[in-house]
Amino acid sequence: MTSLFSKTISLRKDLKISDAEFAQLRDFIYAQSGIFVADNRKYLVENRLATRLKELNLKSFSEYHAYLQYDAGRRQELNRLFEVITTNETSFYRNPPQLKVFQDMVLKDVLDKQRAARQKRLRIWSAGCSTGEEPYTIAIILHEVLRTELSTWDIRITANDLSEAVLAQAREGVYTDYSLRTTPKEIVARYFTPDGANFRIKPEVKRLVAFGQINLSDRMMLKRVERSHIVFCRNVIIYFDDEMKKNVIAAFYDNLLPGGQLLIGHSESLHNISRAFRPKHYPGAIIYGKEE
Amino acid sequence: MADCKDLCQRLGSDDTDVLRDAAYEAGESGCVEAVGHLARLLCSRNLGVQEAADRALRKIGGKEVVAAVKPLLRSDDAPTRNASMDILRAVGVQDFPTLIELLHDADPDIRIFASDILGSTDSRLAVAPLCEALLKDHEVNVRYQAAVSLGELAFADASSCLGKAMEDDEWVQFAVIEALAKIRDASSVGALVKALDRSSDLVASMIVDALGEIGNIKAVTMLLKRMDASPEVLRNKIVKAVVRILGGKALSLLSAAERERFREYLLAALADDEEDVQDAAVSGLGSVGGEAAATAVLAHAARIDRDRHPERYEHAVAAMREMGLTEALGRALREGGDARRMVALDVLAALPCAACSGLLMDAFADLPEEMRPAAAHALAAIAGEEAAAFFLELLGGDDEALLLEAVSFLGGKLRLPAAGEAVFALLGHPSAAVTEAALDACVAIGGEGLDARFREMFASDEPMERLMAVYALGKMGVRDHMDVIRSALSDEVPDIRKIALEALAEMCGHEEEGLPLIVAGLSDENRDVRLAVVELLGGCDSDKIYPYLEQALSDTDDWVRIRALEALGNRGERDAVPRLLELAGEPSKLVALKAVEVLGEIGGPAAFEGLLRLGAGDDPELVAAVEAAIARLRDEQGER
Ligand SMILES: C[S@@+](CC[C@H](N)C(=O)[O-])C[C@H]1O[C@@H](n2cnc3c(N)ncnc32)[C@H](O)[C@@H]1O
Repeated sequence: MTSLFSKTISLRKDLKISDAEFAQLRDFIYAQSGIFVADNRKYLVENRLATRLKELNLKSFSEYHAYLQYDAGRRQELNRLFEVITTNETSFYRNPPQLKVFQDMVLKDVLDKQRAARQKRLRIWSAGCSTGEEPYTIAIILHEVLRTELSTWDIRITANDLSEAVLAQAREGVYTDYSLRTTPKEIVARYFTPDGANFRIKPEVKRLVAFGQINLSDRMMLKRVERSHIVFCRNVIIYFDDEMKKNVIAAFYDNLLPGGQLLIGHSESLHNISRAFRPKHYPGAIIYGKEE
Repeated sequence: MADCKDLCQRLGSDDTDVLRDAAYEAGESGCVEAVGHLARLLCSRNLGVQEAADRALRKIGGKEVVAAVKPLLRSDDAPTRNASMDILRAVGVQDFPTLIELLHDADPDIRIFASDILGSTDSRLAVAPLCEALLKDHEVNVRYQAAVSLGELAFADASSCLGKAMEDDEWVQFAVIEALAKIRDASSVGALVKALDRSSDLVASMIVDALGEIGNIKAVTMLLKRMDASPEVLRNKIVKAVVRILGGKALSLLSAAERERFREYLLAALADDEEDVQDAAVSGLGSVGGEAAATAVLAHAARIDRDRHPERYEHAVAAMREMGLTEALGRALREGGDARRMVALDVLAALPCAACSGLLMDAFADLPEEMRPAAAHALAAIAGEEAAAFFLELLGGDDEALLLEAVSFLGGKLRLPAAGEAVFALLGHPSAAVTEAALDACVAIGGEGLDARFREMFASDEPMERLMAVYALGKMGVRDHMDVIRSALSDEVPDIRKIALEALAEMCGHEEEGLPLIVAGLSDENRDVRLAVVELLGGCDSDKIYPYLEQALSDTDDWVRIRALEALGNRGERDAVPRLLELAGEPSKLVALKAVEVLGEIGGPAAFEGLLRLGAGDDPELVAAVEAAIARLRDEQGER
């Protein structure tokens, strides 16, 4: 009834966010998550949150700010807020050309080196993993490449995100065909079991991935992540301002083992962010390498 | 954070991880002693270390950093050199004398670097030395860089030396023109205009652009004079510059002959390859007007991809409107393709003119179906009574967009009683948007007929219908419908109770009839209803409501209490102070902070004293709020 009502008659005037309130909320979000909400997203924030404020019966965005700090429901609200300001958009086999470079060059290279050093150990970090499509895709690729040899390797994919909600879905491991729209049919057949209209990721894939909550703006938290051969952080740093980008990329650099490699989203770049990595250009992808 | 000595030691390590960490901390803690080490690490072959040192040096800043980084400008290693340049761009201003000294270095490369860095200092002090370099340095690249930097600084004092530099090499001239354009000062105009006559076409076209950007009227005569003798591309640029400088209005001040001549140039410029030239021509044509101009601009607007360039499209439409009702519009509606028709509709939507609504109604039936909503929208925006019959007919249709236009026109704009029944019938429409619009239209139209209809509707079993009825009857006059409102106050659906309460708002001061009904809602089981009551009381202009607000302060819901607090604050209720002081000690932070804020709002000796006592508490957030409240009271005292 309430929802029906609010659709039918708009009792309250539209809630507007003032510049001062926007700055207040932006600083709060930044302090909580490192996500920098650019000025041009002001109206988006206003739009998306106005309904929420009405549901909570709040009168202004500064009240919402107080709510986020002090109300008994603030923890849950914070998660909702993050869902509003971030996009969790992701899919299996997102950006196939980049993944091909990952499979044929980056991964092959690391595996060969590890074999040569008689160390069948591999650590991959998926930072900003959203609902799990990315780390599971990596796990599937590992199965595809190593096949039966996989059981002789010690492998872990650490997958982190800020949002508990997306992590819960990731752990669940059930996906619609929309998430699988760019995934080859035979891969779907091999690594998923149908679950009604949906698809459930198989346990042998799931086993390789460990999910956990992390806030990329928390330097200490990042330092505790096990060091990796490869870091994926795709379509995440777009939310950050330059200072935060620099910090996060520096943390990846520190996390990577010598010779390690970083993959970022195809629309992202480290230009003006970091000169520490050596970019390697492949058809369809740039891979950033740390020196040996 | 580690201490500085320790950091310096760690900066001597050969483990890259240790180095990066130490550099980071040195930067964060501003450890000046580490600067020497960091400068050394800037030359490290390890990129990770180099970068960490770079960041730290920027963070630390100051003379020491400038001094330590300066020698690296001479490094043979390009990355090191670039890094030191970048750092000096960021912190160089903190040691000006060193930068000036570099500007006189024997090595021209260093002088170029120094000019470049001075351009990022944002300091007026950099103008004189850069001007000297611009006019006296014998290396052309130094002069070029000096001009670029003067533009970056954009201080007007640089105009005169830049003007002198227009005698220099063409290569330097480019930079000078750009710099003058950035300075945008009247003093730059003279220098540019003077140079216009003896310049090559290439330089002239840059000057013309620059003059347009500066926008100073002094340049116009010169520009017009140059027009006839110029090749087409340059001529179009001049058209653009003149339009930019004069703006629309002043163009109509040109003499008739001049205007005729200029219109031809504008029409030609509409076909230029560059979009901003086209846009300028559109503005110009909009103000000189005429059929030829209208036809050309309309055709031009129809060619613009409005999804990709909405602002260019709007611009052309605005120019069309400036020209008023032209034949071109009617022709486009009657015989144009879709794109031209759309332009005509968009123009007409905000072109109030006597003949315009007739034009739209005549064309309506022959328009393709998907364009009719836009036509109806345009018509609704500009028409009056004469379109009533037209829209009444639309009410019989089933196109949602057309219905919305008709409902808001007949109800909101005309308030036409004859439309009442038909609009009321739409309350059952499946589209929520249509129902909502129809409800508002009914309220606007009003009258006995609709009144009876809504009363009937209130007896419905459908909550949605009862809700609409209460809403409408409340808006159409509470006093005439007290029986309905009263019964709605005990409806089983909370939203209906809320609407009924809101309808009573205007009667809140009425002690016998209004107030008792309203405050009964304070014990409603539904929190949103109670919130509505408190909000209503807060907005009520009556001296009888204090006890009820006080009652609400003991509500079980924090936000009900907060709203009650706010209401007390707005009313400046001094009697509430003791209770507020109590609430300031509440475990609920939200309530406590609000109570403190309200104490600051209400003021008075008791509040002030109470606040002082609260300020001695040990919850930092609360204490901060108390301090803010006290400061507010002090300010207000001061103002008196
Ligand atoms: C668009 S998704 C990208 C998912 C996946 N990497 C991909 O490329 O398909 C971005 C994710 O970054 C997460 N994120 C944003 N800010 C974060 C932060 N400060 N710490 C951790 N994760 C963050 C969001 O929660 C979201 O799930």
